[in-house]
Amino acid sequence: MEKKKLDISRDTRQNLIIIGVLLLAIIIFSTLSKYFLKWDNIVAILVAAVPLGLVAISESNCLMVGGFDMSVGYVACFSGIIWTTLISVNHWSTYPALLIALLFGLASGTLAGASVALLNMPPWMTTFALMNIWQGCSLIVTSGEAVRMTKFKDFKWLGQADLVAKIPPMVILLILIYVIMYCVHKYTKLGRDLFVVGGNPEAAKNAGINIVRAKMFAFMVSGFLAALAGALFASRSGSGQPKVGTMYAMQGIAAATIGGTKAGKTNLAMTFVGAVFIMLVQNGLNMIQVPAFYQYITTGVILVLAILLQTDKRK
Amino acid sequence: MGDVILRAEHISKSFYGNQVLDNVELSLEPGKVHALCGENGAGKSTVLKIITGIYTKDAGEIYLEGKEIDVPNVDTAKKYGIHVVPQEMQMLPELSVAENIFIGNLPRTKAGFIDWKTLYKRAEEVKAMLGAAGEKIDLKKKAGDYGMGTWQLIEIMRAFTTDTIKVIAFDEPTSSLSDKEVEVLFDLIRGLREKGLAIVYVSHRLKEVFELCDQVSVFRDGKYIGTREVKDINTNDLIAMMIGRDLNMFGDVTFGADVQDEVAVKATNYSHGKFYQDINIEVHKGEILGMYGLVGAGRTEFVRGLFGADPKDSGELEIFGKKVNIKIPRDAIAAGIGLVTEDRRQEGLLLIQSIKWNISMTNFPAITGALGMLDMKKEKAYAEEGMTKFRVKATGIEQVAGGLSGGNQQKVVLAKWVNADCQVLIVDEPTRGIDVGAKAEVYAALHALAKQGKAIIMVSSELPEILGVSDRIVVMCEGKQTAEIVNRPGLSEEEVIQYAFSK
Repeated sequence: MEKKKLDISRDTRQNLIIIGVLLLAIIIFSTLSKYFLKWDNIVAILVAAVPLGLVAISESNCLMVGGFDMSVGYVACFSGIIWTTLISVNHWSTYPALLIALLFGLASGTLAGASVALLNMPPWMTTFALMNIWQGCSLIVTSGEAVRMTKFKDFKWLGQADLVAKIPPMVILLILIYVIMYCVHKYTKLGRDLFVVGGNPEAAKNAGINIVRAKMFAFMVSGFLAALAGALFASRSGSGQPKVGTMYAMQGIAAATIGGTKAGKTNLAMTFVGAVFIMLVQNGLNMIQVPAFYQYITTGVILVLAILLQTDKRK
Repeated sequence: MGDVILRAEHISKSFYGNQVLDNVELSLEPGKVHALCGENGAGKSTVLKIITGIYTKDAGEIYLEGKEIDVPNVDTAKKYGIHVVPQEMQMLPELSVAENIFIGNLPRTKAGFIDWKTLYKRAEEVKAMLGAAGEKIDLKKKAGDYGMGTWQLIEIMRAFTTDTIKVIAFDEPTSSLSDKEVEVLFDLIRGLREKGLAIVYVSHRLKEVFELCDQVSVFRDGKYIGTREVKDINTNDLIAMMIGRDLNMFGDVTFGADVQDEVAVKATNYSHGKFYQDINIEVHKGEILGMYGLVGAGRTEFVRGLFGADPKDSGELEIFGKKVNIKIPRDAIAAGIGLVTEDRRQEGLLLIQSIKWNISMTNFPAITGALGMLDMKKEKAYAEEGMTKFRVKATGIEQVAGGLSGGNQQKVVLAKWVNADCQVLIVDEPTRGIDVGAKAEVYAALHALAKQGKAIIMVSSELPEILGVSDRIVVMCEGKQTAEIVNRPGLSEEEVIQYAFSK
């Protein structure tokens, strides 16, 4: 009996701590920098949180089925390259080119999912390999140079249009995707399968749950959302960058972990908070002129603290 | 009662506002084995943990040889000569047995290095105290080279590294031991009794209480019920004390009463390598078929083969006269077969999720609507029905399964199948590790399922359970089917057990 009370209060307590720390960070940064709480900067934080927010869903799903996806950063990177290159070099129109970029992400996720679910390969190796392949592809296609997109207006709509109060469509899209994924988790059989498969694979098998399908789904969604993240980043920055995404996998895992994600468990609302939190800290550090290289360290520290918070210290 | 070495009075303890011990007492005498009995959650383990310093008490006094003592932690308890052999043993498998015995207290040379000579000398002395039980242990071998039985002996030897030992407590010591190892342990405990130690013994195996113990204290719902000399009582008295009422564990059953004519399961020629050969069974609607045999007889492997959880070499299966081909559990479930596995924590439950979600696992076809959407109302109704039917003791369907007692976890595992569209239910060791009260409820649940018309295959190693519940009994021995017996009142254990041994 006592354990139930404990668990609920534990989860809630953790979430309250995270929100408390978030508020604390906001207070600290806003005292150190007058610009921090300006609307423009708030929008900038939200915009920056979009790609990370998407890969955080990727990682949540993969972590939930007992894996993770190292490749998200370079799937995102190559997806941006594909989209921009198809438009600027091959003269495709905007949205068919975007479709190809997203299909690429789906294909990469399918590949990762198949090797994990069907061939039982360890997720980290598979996705690590994919990560290197896509990194190589990005560098080959672009020769390491950014793909400039200044003259293509359509392309910038998703990332730069002022939809309402300076908020670009990509932010709305992110929120929409979170709502959809939340509903998938909560209300669909497939979503529930993710929890069951990760929570106890043997029990899932004995209950007749299609484990292969659940794992495939997690990795396919992961690849797709990573590709979308890369495309949105490209649209926002107005270019295809061959060096974007190096931190996505780790930041995504950090955000998911802040969301209490582990095998068989997640909370997407808190995962979203996690993504915003990471970007807010990064933005705040920029505001107070901490050099960008230190931001690797902050992400690492945030990840360790998040894991520390989630770890059951009673054992 | 004779002279008392340790006495605990007015002990109370709460966890997070939930009172688990309410004003209990315990008196230990030297040279006596004292059993603590009660259902899961009765408080017996908590009492043990308080006197050995694992938990601290909220209120009450502990007296050692008449003097009040305070045991805030295990180290202090050890200084007073009170030791515990925990249920979960802490072993460093890569270190030698001797190092494991003295871990945390390794003898050092002046330079601060480990003094190996003294270590092995002292380890030999400690080992000598075990007598015959210790003969086979090589102190220089790695602990990981030995099994759980020896690990337990190592835990006991740890207690002997101090000279002052007066009390030694065992928490469910036999739960992971083989029969042979249990015998060794019992001989050792009897030896300790001869030496005049006071021994605390927590176990839910009543048989062991009568075999080994001199006195028994019973707890129920955190309250102290009483202490008896074991020689003055019998099993029924003890059960009555534990559950507070008389209990006919198996209920009033007429064997074969619910059995219908229709054959639900017909399995022919089932074989898988050395595990089982040429098994043929038939189970009728509403029938409980008991499968008995010794460990390793191949029963579990056979039913897992039926279900598709493990591979098989050959075998044909008909469900209600229709041939089905089962390769994986999903095929079996589609054919209307359910399996409750032997190891529920490993194979049956989502420990970090709610009872509701656990029950849903097997009911997805019924609660999934168009577009793969879950019908939340139906899900809730199924979970509530399952919980009520199987009398799961919990705060509600949202309670996390990992926080339930073993018996209630098993009831949840059974509840998973009650609404599932399954006509054949295989249960493997359905009452392993759960207390008597919960056992009776599991049996009642099985009968209820049979009454619904389900065909049930029950694998069990407990003969009273086989005799008390089955309508018909199949006995296996070393992978072969050796007997099929229709159950009747008065069928003797001997008649069944003879087929379980090879000839």
